[in-house]
Parts: sequence; C-alpha cells; structure tokens
Amino acid sequence: MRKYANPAKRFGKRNLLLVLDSNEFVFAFGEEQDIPSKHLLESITDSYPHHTFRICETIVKEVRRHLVPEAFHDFILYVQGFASVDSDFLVPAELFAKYQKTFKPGDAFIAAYAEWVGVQALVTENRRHFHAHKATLPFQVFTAETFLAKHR
Amino acid sequence: MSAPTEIEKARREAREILRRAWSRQGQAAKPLGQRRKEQIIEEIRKSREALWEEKLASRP
Repeated sequence: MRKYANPAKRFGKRNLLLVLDSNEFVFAFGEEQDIPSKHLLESITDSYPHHTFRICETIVKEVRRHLVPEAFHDFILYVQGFASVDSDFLVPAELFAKYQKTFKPGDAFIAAYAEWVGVQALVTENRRHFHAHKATLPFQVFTAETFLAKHR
Repeated sequence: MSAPTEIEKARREAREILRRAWSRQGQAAKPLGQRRKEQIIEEIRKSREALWEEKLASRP
C-alpha cells in the first residue's frame, strides 16, 4: 500500500493534509457562491504549504459535471499548483469495502480515499452523511466554516 | 517544491487564478441561500452515487 509522509510532523507545527470534497470546489468556482468555500481556498492558498490538500479522479469528475467549462478550467489550474490528481484505482478495495458498510458507494470511496491518503481532515459541506458519522472516522470532518473557525 | 521562492510563486499563481475566476463570476454570481445550498450538495452527492453505481456495475 502506497503511503505518504505525514506533514503534521514537519517543522514542529500542526500542518494539515486535507481532502476537500467536490462540493467545496463547486461552491468556490461555480456561479452560485458560497462565501466560506471561497475563504477556505484563500486560506489554504495563503497558508501553503502549512495546509495542503490531495485530490482524486472522482472529485475532479464531479466538479467537471457541475461547473461551466471556463470555471472548470480555473479549477484545474488552481489544483495543479498544489496537488497531482490521484487515480481512483490506487485506493485499496478492502478500504472501500470497509466504508461501504456505512456509506453509499460514492461517499464510501471518498472516505476510503481520505483514509488511504492519511489526511488529518476531510472538508465537506455534506453534513447529512459525513458529519453524521464523524465519530467513527479516522480523520476529522469539517465544513469550510468550521475548518476556518478552528484552523485559520 | 521546497524553496521559499517556489512556494511563494505557487501561492501567487493560485491567488491570481482565484482572483481571475471570482472577478469573472462578478455580476453573474448569485448569493447562495441555505436551502439552495442544501439542494446543490444533494445534487452533487446524487451524481457521485450515480457515477459509482455505474462504475461498480461495469466491474467484471
């Protein structure tokens, strides 16, 4: 299993590796604005590489479905500055199966991906599903607003 | 990417992309109410589930 260095141990500071769910990018780059999601990207940009994020094919595909081409182009340019896109196939099937007991397949995959990457937190506006199960997850779950309140 | 200049360059470019994206949205962008926000979250979630149902169905 491929593992990545935990940035929380670098520099003696509490650095955070994050997965940002597709809804954060759609709200930041889409036509319908959500201010906390925009502030989240600003904050990550300004704090880079203190906080950084990982992204996978599923998230990119979802963002593409919900943005106009020009906005999707901006999104791609933005993420390329900070992260490469991980192939979905890298996530071990057994991790995916573990989360399928709790979530539907799409959410199960995001949870498995976050665990596989070894993130400290998933930032998502999906309160109904991820936030309802956050006590059982090996990473923290925030909305853009709660993340900014705690880590800005 | 570890040299401070490279880090600062990455930050600067990212800020510029955000600035450009948001200034283009400008007047077209609509403020988002809580109800509409919930609808969009659910739309995104449903499309993700559809994508994964399709993916799982096509597995041998």
